Amino acid sequence: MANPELELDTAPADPGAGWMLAFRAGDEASFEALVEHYSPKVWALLTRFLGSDSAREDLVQETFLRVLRAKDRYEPRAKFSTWLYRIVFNLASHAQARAAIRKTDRLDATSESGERAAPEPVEERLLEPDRALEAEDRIAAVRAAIAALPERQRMALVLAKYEELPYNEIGAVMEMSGKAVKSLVHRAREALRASLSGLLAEELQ
Amino acid sequence: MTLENRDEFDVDPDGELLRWLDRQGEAAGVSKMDAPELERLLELAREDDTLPLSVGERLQARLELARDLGTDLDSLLGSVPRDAAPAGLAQRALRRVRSEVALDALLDAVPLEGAPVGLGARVLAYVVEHERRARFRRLGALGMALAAGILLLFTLRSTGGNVAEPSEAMAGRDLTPADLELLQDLDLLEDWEDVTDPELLLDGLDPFESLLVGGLGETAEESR
Repeated sequence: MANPELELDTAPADPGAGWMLAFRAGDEASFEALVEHYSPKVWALLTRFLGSDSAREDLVQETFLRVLRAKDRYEPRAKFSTWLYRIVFNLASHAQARAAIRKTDRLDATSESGERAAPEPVEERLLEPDRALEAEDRIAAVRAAIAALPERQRMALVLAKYEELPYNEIGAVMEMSGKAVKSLVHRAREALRASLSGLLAEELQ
Repeated sequence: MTLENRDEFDVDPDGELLRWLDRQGEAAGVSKMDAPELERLLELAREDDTLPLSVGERLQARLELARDLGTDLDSLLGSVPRDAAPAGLAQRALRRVRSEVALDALLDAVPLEGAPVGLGARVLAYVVEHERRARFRRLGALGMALAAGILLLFTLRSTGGNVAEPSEAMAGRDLTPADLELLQDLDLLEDWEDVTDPELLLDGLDPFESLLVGGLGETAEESR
């Protein structure tokens, strides 16, 4: 794996930027290093954001394809991860929008044909906090509560909590101010407190 | 692991910082790292002056978030493990990227098939011709009137320039077989046949004249 800190003087605290600049200069191994390093992060972020959606792997690939195609335009103005997460955020948002349209179409088709709706897949059932709580599956309940958050609240929370990005960086990813991100996290917190109240009570005991 | 080893944080980001905090917490004799503990830890690390900036930022963000979420909720959310990426994820991503790039290069290498030579000119000619015919049809009636006018003009010329009085002109409308014979003798009808040749007619005329004459030609064609 290429080590940008040994090869480049640029942004030593930001290996992604180093790899990207090296790749732009013609070092293909740097791109491989970048994919190796960031693909688990992208996967984890997509999983937090989309749940166990079967399109995650395609989205990981699409993310790096976009990185590659933006090679000549890339400028290390912000952290590489901020730039990368912005791509992920956009792709995930579009994927969700497409899924919502498909779901609406499916429901419309079902109601038009007068058929009874098919039972939801297990994963979708788990996305409902109450049912997951009944199953006493703590992790599933927390995941379900996060999945039930509105898109922007979910992304803000996931980036803050699981990627440990400061609010201003999340703002750069989501194209909003750090203050607005904080407000989103606050609203996410209120929603989570409501949906996880049972588990929180157990936590305090 | 020490805080100085920044790369280990970057290479293994799956909750490593949290585990490090837990270990620090255990060493400090606290089971859970609540916000005050985190704050104290951050302060100590900064005093130590070995804390890399990126780790310091993350600790600070973690602390701020812990305050925002509240320790209980933060701890509950933290209990959810990070999903491990499937084996071979990066290799498959690289393979896909390479195949797309190879396809791009392949497509770039093949020049776009150009339009056949003269296609544009032919299309333009077709459109112009189509439009011209449409206009000719609209002007058909006008053409007929003009044809009659020209015929009358030729008739007047054949009379030696004597302009007929209105009453004579009116009388001239009803051509007798003898009149027609006279006109044929004067080759006027043959002249008229000649001027219906579009190439002959259109040569040297401005567009509007071409349009009128073309209309006359078409009318003559139709009337045959």
